[in-house]
Amino acid sequence: MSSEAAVYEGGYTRLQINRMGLWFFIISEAFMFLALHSYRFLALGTEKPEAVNVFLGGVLTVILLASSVTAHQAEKAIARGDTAGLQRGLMATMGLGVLFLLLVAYEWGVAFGEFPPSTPFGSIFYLTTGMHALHLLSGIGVLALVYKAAKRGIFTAESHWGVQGGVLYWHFVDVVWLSVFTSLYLL
Amino acid sequence: MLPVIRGTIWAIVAFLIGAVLTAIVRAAMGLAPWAFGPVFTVGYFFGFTGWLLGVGVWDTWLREYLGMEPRPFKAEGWRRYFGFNTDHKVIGIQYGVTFVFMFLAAGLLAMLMRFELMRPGRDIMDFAEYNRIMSLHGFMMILVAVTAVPGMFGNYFVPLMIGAEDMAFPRMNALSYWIWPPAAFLLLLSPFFGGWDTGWTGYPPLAITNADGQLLYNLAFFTGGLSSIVGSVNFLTTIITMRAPGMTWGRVPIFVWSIFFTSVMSLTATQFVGVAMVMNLLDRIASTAFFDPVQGGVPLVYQHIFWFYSHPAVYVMILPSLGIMLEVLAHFSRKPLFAYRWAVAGFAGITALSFTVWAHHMFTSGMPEVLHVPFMATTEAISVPTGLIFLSALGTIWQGKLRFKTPMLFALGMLFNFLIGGLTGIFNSDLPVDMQLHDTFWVVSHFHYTILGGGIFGLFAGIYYWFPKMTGRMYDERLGRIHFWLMFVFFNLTFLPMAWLGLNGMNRRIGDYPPQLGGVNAFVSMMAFVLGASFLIFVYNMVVSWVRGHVAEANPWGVRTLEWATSSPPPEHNFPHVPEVLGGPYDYGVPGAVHARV
Repeated sequence: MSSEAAVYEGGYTRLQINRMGLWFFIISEAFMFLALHSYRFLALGTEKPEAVNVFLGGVLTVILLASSVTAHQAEKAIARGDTAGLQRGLMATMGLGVLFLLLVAYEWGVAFGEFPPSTPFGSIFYLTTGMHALHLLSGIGVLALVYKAAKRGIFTAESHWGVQGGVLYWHFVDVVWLSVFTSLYLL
Repeated sequence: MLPVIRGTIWAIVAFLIGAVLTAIVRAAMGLAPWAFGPVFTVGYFFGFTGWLLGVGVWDTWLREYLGMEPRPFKAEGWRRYFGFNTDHKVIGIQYGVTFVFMFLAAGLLAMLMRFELMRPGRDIMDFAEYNRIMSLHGFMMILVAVTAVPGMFGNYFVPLMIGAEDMAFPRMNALSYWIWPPAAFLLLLSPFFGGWDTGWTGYPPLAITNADGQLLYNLAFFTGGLSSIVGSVNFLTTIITMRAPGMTWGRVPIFVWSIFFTSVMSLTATQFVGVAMVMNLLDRIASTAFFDPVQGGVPLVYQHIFWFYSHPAVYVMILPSLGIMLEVLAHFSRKPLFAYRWAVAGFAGITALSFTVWAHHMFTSGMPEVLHVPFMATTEAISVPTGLIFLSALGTIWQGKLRFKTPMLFALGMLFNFLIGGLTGIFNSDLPVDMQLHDTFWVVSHFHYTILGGGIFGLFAGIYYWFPKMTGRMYDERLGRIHFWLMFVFFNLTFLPMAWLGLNGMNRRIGDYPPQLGGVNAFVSMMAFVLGASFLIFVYNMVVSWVRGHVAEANPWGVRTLEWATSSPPPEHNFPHVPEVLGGPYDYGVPGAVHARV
């Protein structure tokens, strides 16, 4: 991982190149959620069934925002060279992520009876929250790899792109949730 | 073991695991276990993952993430094309061979269609069969047009032209290629599942009620889109970060600019078609209600989401070819590229406007009438930045010392064809006229003038132009010119009468037409067969020249851009040391001008 500081012929370091690539990927993924939201508004306007559980959506939002804080703390910890703090932060973040997924599963179980996927709102609700959950699941997978790598002790205060990339992706999945929460729960 | 064989084995095993798991879950839920849709879809995603892992993602990539020693793919000779090779030059050739092959196969399907259309009434196939062949032809050609130029020349020449030793993310580059074989496999498989008959656009509700082949179309489109996105992340990052010292934005060759803006569109818009495919697929296999009017869904929204990708996609098809055209015109006119900055502005303008025109495909769809005029206006506005490209092209050949080699002929042919494509497009964008022209052969003519006459002519200009660099051998110039003249003349004789047929009431996507159009159709079919036969000369020329053509020098055309400043074909890391860029790439005839020191 010391190759992060390597400077390429264009004058950029490996770290800068990696970060730019991840940002482009994030922009692309944002467009996927834009496409999902565009179905929601083009097909259904702002209508939604009464049965959408705004309170539960709020709880989910709080959990995710908290996980962003712990993820940020994990990154700060390794920036100080504190590998144990990094592992604690990652563990907390993944735990909150799993809690989020369990609550989503519970919500789906209840909501299937209220607005099944065979209705237009149900279709877009389950597809959007499902896509988000899939992204969160992949985020947990990435953080698990980072955790394993941290245990091997490959991250240092100067060089920890794996942590930075994973945490940036995690923040993105959180920000996307805010748009999902707004379009499917609040409006 | 060759990685492709291991990938195939892993794919089959993973497919079976996914399929059986789905069946078990379905049985547990009290459903019929072996429903084709869900079992095949889940099986496919398992198989797809297995394929990628087996073909090299596991060895070169995941092992590293899991703390094991990665095993990079190393091979010599022909074997290096059959594994997870991260050299951008190998990937360019993998793309090139794959998509030229796909182009020829889809062309054969077109020959079948012209055979059926030679006489009115039913000849060799029934009309359902005709629509399935038309759909497969259309979709395969769309994939070729979207992928061939960026995949083959973008990968091979962007790093060389900017003086880099490889792409920014070599492993992702290999990934973007190895995503394709599963998509191609689905297309080969689709006729065994009844094919699909919606055309390449896959509109619901037909697309959720027809034969299972449609499901394979959904999965193939989704898969191809994934590759496009991965590739465009890589192109954008490469072009921004990997330019050699002195390669400022004002000195970047125009082809690199065209790939840059193409990537902006594929990076963002492709997500929309992915979502449209997933929704269509779920409507079919999971009884969701996105586009199914019976359950309250709205089919029209599919068209909005689909065209939000698929209109930018036609610029994805044409921009890289326009880049090749300007590149070739400048080098073979021995003149600086005229209005370089305006040409770049033209690419930027097309890219920006391309996101605002999608509903011009939907004038007859019954969408709200308030949308008609704005989309007509934005569509017609796109001719302004396109005009900048033409301005640049014409100014470049003006009073130049033109060298009529095969690449130059193709570039000039493209300029001519694309002009006709653009002019016929004005009628389509005009609302009252389009109401009459929609879904007639006029549209077929227009579309083929832009994409075959423009995009694919640009592809062939690129193939002949860069053949000596990519293979290290020279193609046969005489055969190249014969190919050009046959292709150019018979292309026009095929597609110009189609515009007339459309104006006289011949509908597209139907294997029949009013009997009085029989004579012109017979003529068109004859011309199309000669057009098809002209590619035999091309294939012969390519195969024979690649095997035993004259050995090419480093710079047979006397061109200034960086890819010609290294040997043919270039060594593994492209340049002996980092090139230093001192001036623009097109300063022919400017005393003392130097592009780069290698």
